[in-house]
Amino acid sequence: MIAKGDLTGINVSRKASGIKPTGEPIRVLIVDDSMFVTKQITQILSSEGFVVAATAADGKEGLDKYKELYPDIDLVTMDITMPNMDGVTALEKIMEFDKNAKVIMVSALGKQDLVKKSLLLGAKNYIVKPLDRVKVLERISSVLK
Amino acid sequence: MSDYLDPNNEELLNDFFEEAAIQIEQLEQNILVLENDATDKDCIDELFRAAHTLKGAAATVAITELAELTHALEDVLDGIREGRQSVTRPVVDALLVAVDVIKSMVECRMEGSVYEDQGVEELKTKLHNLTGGTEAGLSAPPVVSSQTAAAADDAAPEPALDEDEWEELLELLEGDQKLYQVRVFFDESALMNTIGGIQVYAALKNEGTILKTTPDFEALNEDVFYPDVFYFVASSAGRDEIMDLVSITDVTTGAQISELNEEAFEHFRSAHTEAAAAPVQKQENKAPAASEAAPEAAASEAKQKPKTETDADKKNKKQSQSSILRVDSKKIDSLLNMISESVINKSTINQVSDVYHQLIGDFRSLNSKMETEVTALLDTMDDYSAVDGTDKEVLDQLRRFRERCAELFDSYDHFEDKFKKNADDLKNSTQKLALNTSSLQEGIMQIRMVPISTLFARFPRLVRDLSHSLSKKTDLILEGEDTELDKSIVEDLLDPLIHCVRNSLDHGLESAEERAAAGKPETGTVVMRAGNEGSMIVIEVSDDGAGIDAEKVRQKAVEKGLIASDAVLSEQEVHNLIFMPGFSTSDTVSSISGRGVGLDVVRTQIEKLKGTIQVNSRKGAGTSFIIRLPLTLAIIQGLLIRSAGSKFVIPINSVIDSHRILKEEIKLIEGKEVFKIRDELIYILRLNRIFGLPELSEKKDGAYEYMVIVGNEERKMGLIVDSLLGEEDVVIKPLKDKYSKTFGMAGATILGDGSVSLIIDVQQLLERIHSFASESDFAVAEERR
Repeated sequence: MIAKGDLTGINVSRKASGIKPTGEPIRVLIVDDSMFVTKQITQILSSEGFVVAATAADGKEGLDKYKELYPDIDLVTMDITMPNMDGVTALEKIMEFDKNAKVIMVSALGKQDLVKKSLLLGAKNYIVKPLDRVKVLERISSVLK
Repeated sequence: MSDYLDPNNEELLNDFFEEAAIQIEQLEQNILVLENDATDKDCIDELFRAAHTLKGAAATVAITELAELTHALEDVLDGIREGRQSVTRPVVDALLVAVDVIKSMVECRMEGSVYEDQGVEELKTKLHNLTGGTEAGLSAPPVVSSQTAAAADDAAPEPALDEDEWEELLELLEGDQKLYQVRVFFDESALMNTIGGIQVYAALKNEGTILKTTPDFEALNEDVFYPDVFYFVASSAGRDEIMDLVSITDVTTGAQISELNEEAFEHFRSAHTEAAAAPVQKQENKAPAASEAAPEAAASEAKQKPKTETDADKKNKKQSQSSILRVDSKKIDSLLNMISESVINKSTINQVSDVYHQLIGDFRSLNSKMETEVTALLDTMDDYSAVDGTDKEVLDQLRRFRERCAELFDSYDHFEDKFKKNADDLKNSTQKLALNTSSLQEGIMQIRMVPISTLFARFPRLVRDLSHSLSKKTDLILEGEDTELDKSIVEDLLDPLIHCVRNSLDHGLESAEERAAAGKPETGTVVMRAGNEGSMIVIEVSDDGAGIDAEKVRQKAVEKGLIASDAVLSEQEVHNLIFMPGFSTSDTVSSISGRGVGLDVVRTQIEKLKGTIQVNSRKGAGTSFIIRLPLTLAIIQGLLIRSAGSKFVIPINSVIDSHRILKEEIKLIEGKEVFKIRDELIYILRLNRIFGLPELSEKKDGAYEYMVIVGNEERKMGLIVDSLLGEEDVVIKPLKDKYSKTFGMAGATILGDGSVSLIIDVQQLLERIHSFASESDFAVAEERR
């Protein structure tokens, strides 16, 4: 028999990046207008023990969900180009609401200037589409360290 | 590309396909917009974005053929965006062909195969040649520009400062802050490697004040890669903390941190006073490098700018994307099914409630009858008891009996009050329930509604291609694209609409010369308009072409033997001839319309959707097809009739009229029953016979028959039924399995009283009318059943 605690131990030793040292999963909000990208990120993160707490299809919804979930949210992935409210604006509003928010931008190639703007506004890192599992996890863990 | 992707991950693939469809549609639409206005920057950006997204997604799901083609497409678009490529007909054609191939590629993949056609390589070459063979900006990360900026020297653990600058910076320090020189080295192989400079800047900013960077902040903001950057930071953090901040996986490769304190400054000053020329020299060395990089950066910025999307751009997006939840339509159907059950339950409860009220009435009259009877009985007993000095005991008994009766009456009254109150409550709740269920039903119906724009969106391309192949100039105007209709209708409406539009372009619109001669603008106009009209959707396809030549149509119809040469027909009736099977006025059969399968197919399809189609035309002024459809197919208004003891529903939209006719007025022509109504002979079908049901022996009106005339203006027939029961909204439930092909049945429904009733498929009956109308042919019908 393996006790639940042992399993957690195993997970920690495997360094699943989605688990906090406390053994709780890291809760993520995915903001992306592409269902496809949302699913990809979800798959990558879930496989590492992260919990996708919510998803949002545009910046406005993302902002609302963040406020709703706060403080029970550890990380946000934010697409840049979205309808209603773009990712940079949403980031700005989230940072206004919670200056410690950990937001990672998700950008298509070629949006360097917007990524730079986001980083200066408080985004912790960025991920480039098309998504690559290793890079995604690398960049996310660099934010969480 | 990514190791986590399971090629059998159907869910992900399905998402890809769905989104690919959207991107393809955007590509197509925007190419058409571009053709009309080559300067529409938003549209070019949108095109580029769509192609780019599609390329990326295709690469992710390892659909390489698609990724490669979209890449070639993207190059052309990039050329257009940068003004290297003009938007000419051949370019637009090539783009559209590419979109078509992309479509086919996606379709193939959806079917599990891979698109293979030698033409693809050719197409790619063609696209490539369009770009003049120049590689477009985004095809490779912008490493090129980094070469010049990379000229910075490697051997500089020394401060990249001159004395004055250093002194200035030292003065800016506050409190326990220390001045650090942080030299960070960046990973050139990272995607979008030009961001690193700013990323480190942003990271350092959190732990202190950045006093200066080399290259400066403006330069870092340009789209240029610098292999290393100096940051001068005033911070109270320790060296290790700073090191942590600037060590970013996948971005930086290393850093050198030195504290620039007073001591070091003094050392530096003394060491450099004599060799003051050296740092100056270095500055000079750097200067040309910087100025060299500047034009690059400027050009690069110009390249990047058009891609960025501002809020305004997004608002202008051709497709406004509100927050949309994707739900399997089966779930909605099952919801609808459940709510239909509730509607039926509601009717049942309603009836129960009515029965309660009726029972109260009955109870009341029974009660009063009993009271009267008992009172009368007591009175009689009184009479007897009063006769001769009756036993006192008997009298007492009688009095007590009387008292108990009074009590009993009271308790009955009490019960009646309670009963009535409850029945009233039930009635109220039932009414509320009725209200709720109907709004619930409406709400669920609403979910199934989609804007007709999803359908209309296909037409600009179609009209463009047709116009080109017919050498006609055509403007397509779309109106009322927001009009919503049931998704299941939308899917089946495409073909009929395509047919109408083709008809308008091919037969309706004249050639440019003819139009000029007729004093019309050379460019013809086709309008597709959608709107609501009561519970119906009206879709109109109209053109400003030559209109229907009634004489020509008439001749043709006579030639084809569709009408007698001496038939007297109104103009409208002549127009309606174009819907006759086998009718086509085009002298030569073209590939566009008139391939023998004419507008009759359109009408059949529309009628299958429980709709009607009508044509209006004025010679010389144009033609319009008007299609009327029910909002939804799930609920119809039905005429409830009874035949041979069973209830049937006839969809009300195919009911023209109903009559009570004298039996003797039914005549036999060639063994078929007909009835003459307003100078028109119509065939008669007896519903019970079609379905092989026994004739009812006794009928109320012996001399009369009830006849429902069904069909449309061109084809109609009379259905003989036993009685008409009224109209009712019915929810169509499809017949399942072996019953699904039952002749003459469109489905079934559950009526308010809970009984099941079959819905008659009028179209099918009309199609077979000739084989059924004859008495002798009923055997055939029996067999078919």
